[in-house]
Amino acid sequence: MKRAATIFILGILLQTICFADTAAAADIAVVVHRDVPIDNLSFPELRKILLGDRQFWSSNLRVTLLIRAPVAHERDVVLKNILQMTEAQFRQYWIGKVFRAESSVAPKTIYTNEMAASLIANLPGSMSFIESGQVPKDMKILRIDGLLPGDKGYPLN
Amino acid sequence: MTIRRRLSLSFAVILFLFTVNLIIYFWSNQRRQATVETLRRAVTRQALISGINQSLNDIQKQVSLLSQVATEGAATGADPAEVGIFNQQLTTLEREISQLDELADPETRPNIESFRKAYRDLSSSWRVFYENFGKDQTKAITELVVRAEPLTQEVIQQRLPQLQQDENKRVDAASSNFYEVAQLTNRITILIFAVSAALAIGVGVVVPGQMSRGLNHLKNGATSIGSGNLRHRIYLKSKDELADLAKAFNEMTGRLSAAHDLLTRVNEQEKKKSEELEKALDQLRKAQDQLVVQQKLASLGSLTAGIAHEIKNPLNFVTNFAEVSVSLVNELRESTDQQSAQMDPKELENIRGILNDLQQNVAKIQEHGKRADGIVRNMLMHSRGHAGDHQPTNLNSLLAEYVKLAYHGMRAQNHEFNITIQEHYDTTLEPLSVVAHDLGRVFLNITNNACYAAYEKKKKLGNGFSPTISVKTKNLGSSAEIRIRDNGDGIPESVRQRIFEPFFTTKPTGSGTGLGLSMSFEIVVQQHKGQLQVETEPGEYAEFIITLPKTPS
Repeated sequence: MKRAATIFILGILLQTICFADTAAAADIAVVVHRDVPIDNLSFPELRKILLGDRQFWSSNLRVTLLIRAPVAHERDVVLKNILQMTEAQFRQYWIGKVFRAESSVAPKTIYTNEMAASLIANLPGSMSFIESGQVPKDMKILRIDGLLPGDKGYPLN
Repeated sequence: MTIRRRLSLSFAVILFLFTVNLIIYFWSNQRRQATVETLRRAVTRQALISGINQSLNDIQKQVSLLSQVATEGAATGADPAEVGIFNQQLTTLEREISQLDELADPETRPNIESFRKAYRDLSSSWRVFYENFGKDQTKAITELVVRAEPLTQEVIQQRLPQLQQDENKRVDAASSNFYEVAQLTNRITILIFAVSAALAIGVGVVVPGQMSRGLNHLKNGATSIGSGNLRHRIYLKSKDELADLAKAFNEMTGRLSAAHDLLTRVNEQEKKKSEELEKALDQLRKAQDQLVVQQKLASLGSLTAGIAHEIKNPLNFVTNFAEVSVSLVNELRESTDQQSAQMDPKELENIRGILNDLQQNVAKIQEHGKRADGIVRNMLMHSRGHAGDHQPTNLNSLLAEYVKLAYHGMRAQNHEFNITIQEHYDTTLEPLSVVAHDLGRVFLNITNNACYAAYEKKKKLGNGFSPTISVKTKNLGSSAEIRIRDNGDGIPESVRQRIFEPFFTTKPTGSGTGLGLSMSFEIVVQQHKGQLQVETEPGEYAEFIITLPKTPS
């Protein structure tokens, strides 16, 4: 039993190290459901969405934020580059926001990019962060400050 | 209205007010309880809705936070125990909604039913989320995003606030209704109390007031009647027992008054009878006295007639022989004068002196004999009665004539005599059938006495006194009245008793015979069936009143 647990932890650590190496090399794309009515987001607006300060794309289309589970590279990029928060700060922030009823909907945790792609394809108004190399071809990617992943100066990498 | 009916009505009014108060009390209590119950149900529903809201928010937060939690065992999902607790929470919440539905009014029930349906959908979605959480995260998140979150929005942000708003309105309405009912019932209670108080005061004032007024009337009436005013009547406008009592009282007073009047009339009749009896007795006594006097006068008259008759013959001799003696003395004086030359002068003178004395004596005898004869003739006339005829005579003229005759007769005797005569003759007095000569003697006698009395007082008092006699006639209808009054010294009571007796006089000897008033009384009373009365105030006046019937019996 102890051995199995040790192997599981080591596996996770190894996976983390592997993802870290990959992320260092790829930009994180902001992907949205195809009916989201905008193509470009400013960085502050992206930050607002992540902080739950902007919850609607339009009057009828709610933002459904899907974020990878902790330890995932996409999550790390989002927390560090956009929010400048630690994991604990991010959790605490959303717990407080939900309990203060400032937002009725918290970001949903997803475990894989495939899950993210699947959910974004099915959930109107959904938005997630996927490494640009793993984004399916038909997925809508938003520009951040007019830049797409791979562009020089793209902020999410 | 009778007192009994009035009191019964008052009691009925008080009973009615009491009943109204009781009804109002129970009605108010019922209304208050109903409004309190409505308010309690509304508040309970409000509390339930608040609790449901809180629970929904808690579950929603729980689900929301759970959705961002990454489970360690991604494939194992949530602990079944936790799922059970979660389901229990949802069941409890549904039970509360059922309770809310039971407490709901018919108007709000459709909203609660739709709320319950939405909640069931939501709880079903949450259950799907919970059951798939960690196992099929995609399904869980899809369920959450696609169904649960819109339902959460609908339930928590639309339906529940709507219910809360409805219940708040109902609580407000119930509260407002409660205060309105309380205010209304208070107003009605105060109004009923005021009306009850006013009616009670009215009944308390009017009923005893009417009774008191009635009793006071009765008391005053009884006092007035008791003090002897049997004409007093008690009038009460009311139609009650007091009015009946007053009526009975008035009837009793009427009977008392009638009895009193009857008694008074009987007393008056008795008094009148008594007076009439006294008067009759007095008249009887007077008649008896008069009879005695008349008998006395008759016997005196007989005696006088006898004496006069006996005296008249010798008196005739005396007067006749005195008259003859006067003739003889004259013859003797003539023969003495024829033989005077032959006689001694002294003897002649002596004889002549004797003859003069004799002549004077005889003349005196003749004079007083004639006087005595006049007296005797008067006595005879008095005793013989009067045989004059009744002739219609004007009394005013007769009285005036004899008053003047008396005055001049007095003046002839005494030149210094003077007196004021006041004459008042009633011109309506028609001629009466009288014996004028005899009645004239009556007037003459009484007027002579009056003049004498007044002049005697004048002589006594001097010039400061004005002697006056007053003569009056008056037509009394069935009789004639003659009053002869002087302001002399009047007649003392002791003298008054005897003035009509024959030969009674207060004049000096030789001045009156004492037969004047006696004859006058006889002429008036016996001959003319009238009355001769005297009224006098000693020292002030004397008044003779002659009453003559117009139709002598």
